[in-house]
Amino acid sequence: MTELEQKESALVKIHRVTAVLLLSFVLVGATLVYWSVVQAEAILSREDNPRLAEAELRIQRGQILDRNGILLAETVGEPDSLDRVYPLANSGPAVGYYSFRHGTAGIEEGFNDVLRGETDNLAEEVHRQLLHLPQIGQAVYLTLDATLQQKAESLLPASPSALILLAIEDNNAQILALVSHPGYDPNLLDDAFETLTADEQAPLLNRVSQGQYQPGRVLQPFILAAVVDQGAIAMREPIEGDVEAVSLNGQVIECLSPPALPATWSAVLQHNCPAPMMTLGDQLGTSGLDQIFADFGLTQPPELPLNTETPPLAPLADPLLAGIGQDNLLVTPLQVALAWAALATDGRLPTAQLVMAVGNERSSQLSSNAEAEAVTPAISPPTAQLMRLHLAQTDNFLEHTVPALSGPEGQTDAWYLGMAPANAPRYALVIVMEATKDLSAVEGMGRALLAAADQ
Amino acid sequence: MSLFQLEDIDEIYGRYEAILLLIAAGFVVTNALALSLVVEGFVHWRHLFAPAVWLLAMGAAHFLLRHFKPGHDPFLLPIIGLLNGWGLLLIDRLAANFLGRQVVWMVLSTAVMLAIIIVPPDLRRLRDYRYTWLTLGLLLLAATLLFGVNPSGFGAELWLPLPVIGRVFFQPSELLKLLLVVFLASYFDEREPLLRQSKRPFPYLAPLLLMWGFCMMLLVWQRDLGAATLFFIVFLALLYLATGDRRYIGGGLGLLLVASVFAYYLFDVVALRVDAWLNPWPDAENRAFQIVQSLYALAAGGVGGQGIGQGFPDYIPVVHSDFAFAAIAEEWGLVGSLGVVACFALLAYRGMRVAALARRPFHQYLAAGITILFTAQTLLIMGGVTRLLPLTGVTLPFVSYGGSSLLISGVMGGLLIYLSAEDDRGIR
Repeated sequence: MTELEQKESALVKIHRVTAVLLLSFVLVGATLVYWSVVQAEAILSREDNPRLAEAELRIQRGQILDRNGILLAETVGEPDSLDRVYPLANSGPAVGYYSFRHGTAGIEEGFNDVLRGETDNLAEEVHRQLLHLPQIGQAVYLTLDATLQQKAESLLPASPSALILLAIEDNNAQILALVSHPGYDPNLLDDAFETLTADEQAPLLNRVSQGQYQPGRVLQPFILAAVVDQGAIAMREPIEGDVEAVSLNGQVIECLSPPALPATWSAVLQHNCPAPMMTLGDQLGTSGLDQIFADFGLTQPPELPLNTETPPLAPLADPLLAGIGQDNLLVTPLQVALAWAALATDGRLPTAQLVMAVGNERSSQLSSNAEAEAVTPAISPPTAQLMRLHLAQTDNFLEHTVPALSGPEGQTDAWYLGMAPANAPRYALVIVMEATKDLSAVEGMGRALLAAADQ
Repeated sequence: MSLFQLEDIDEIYGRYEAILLLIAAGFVVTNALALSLVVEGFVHWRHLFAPAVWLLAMGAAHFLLRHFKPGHDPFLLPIIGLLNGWGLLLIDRLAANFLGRQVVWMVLSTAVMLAIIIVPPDLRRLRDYRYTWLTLGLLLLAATLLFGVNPSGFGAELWLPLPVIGRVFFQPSELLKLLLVVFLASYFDEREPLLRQSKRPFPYLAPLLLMWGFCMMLLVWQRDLGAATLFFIVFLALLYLATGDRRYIGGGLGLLLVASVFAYYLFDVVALRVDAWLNPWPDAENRAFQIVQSLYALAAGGVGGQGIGQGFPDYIPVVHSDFAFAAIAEEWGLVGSLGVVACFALLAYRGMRVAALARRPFHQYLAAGITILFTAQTLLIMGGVTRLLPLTGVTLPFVSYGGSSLLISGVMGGLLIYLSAEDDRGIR
């Protein structure tokens, strides 16, 4: 082999080695494209990606404020150590919570995207990510009134109980106060979470929107109103049959006080007599009762940015028992409050509202319940007005206070349904205290709160 | 047609180098300013100190080379400079407490590189005393068996503490890499005709295999399996260049595969890395944590990157050393990581060009050996970081934190530039 041939042979070998080296770099480049572009989204969304947590911890969530601009929740601290604080302790059931470890609940959950500042505007998001601008959420203005909320908190006992106060305007029922006891302080959630979840009294359950109760004679005004509206009875006409006590699973259910005889339907309502309601239930049958309960919104969870989901109900089985609310129907205080608000106004079931504005400008009101016109009224406006005339009245409050057997163990819950002012109600209130027959206590609370609201 | 064209205008060479260095300087200074703004909120000298020293070092290197070796390759210094500067940015970003030390090593590395280029080294001595040099390297490596430490306090004890200087350590396997390349280049220079012409070349390879075997044995003993793999690749590539016989490559790769299977069952660290390579996700929180975090970094970087100081590469354990490339991918994105790949590909191309144009076989083997060493090391760590290969625990030349690596890379870079000036000009 000549020297020239040797040189050429060496060059060929160097060419080959060089080509292998360069092709290896091309392979590395292709792998980079695979991980950085093709697989990027799938990889980054894995739960064990610590960058997700880092990004989450840097989000400055928006404020939650009451209807008057009083702070209910805000995020404070430096960008890399933000903290969510709730100035109203025990506001958990109303406002909910945000916890990095335990997620969100309540309004924090329902308006999570708004509070986090998520946007559908691609250009805005790209701009923010390019410049590493912090993700800043928008404010949420609730219909709650912090003063009434605090008053309601202080009135309600620590034992299991629930309260909801509505302000009725047009066809909207704005929630002014919402209390569920036992509650929790969202400021202490991280430390107390294990205890809270293990607590048999379920403090994390919002009893107002998800607490299911056997309604008992709470249903009386709704059933009577529907039947009056159908023209089947008149409130002033005497009932057929008597007002004897009835026995249920060994427990005696009787009128709260004996009515003057012969009793009218009005007296049955005011004295909470069970026997005529059972007879009426029998006449209506399960389908008739079902329709009434549906018309008053007692069979479906209302729409709210709170979790209102409840387990499906078993169909009504016994119209006699269903007539006194001791069959398969279970209701939440929220459902009862909305049905009660229908009686307080023109018979239409109002739409529950907990949020009045979203965004950093308070003027950005949510659209009001424009489609409410399309809602079929539960009863006609004259019937609603008539029913209010037959409710028990104390001072300026129209009331319906009853004990209700609830649950297989025959626990008695005390219910208070109140509205004020009596001549043209603007406020509707429902309180339920579990495991008590103390109706005067629940009435006292209800009247105090309605008086505060109506000032 | 040759891949390597002759380029013969010295003046343009000088301008190329100056322009490329200016681009590198713009990149390094801009990123240093950006890092300062991100970390401090204002421009702080702490983040400009290292780039300033780097600028002085690269400026001096450019002017000295232009004066003393005007015919040198104009791409090598800018590539080495850019990678060095990028490395300093990364150390400042990821392990700022090591930055001062890395700056000292960078200055030393540049000084040694310049000394090698400007003060003509007697390469004949390297060639003629190959056994002495390699034995010296092996003794140093063997010394780690007795006196070896690991500066981080855990892991393989591959470093020797340097006396007098204090907490400064040297990794003999880095020096051994260079000495092995010198040994192989010298050996093939001398025995190439015999290897090529003999039908039974094994007797001529025996001394070579013996010395190489010693190296491998010591490295395996020391659990420095990354360096052992690197030696194997360089050995095979140079053997191919010397003999042109592809069977050596095939046989060698077969042996590597068999050795890998044995290593998998013999060494926990190998089993761990292979398992994590095959499927890291089930053990993402424990044994595969490092590679999984690396993949997250690549994904998080996307195309444009998070920007310096704005990603989370610090989730990767020892990111400033073994996973510097992943940090680049996260903060400079695909653009940055492909940029680094392009730099090393260009380094490989220019290095092999130096080999192709070398007038003497020893120079040719030396240039090729150094280039293959750089490239194989780069591909091993890039492949490991991107899960193309199992992790081998080698550093990214010029970029990763590590004094010994930087110093020896400087020496090798200096030799390449020296050879480019010597042989290129000779041809013209």
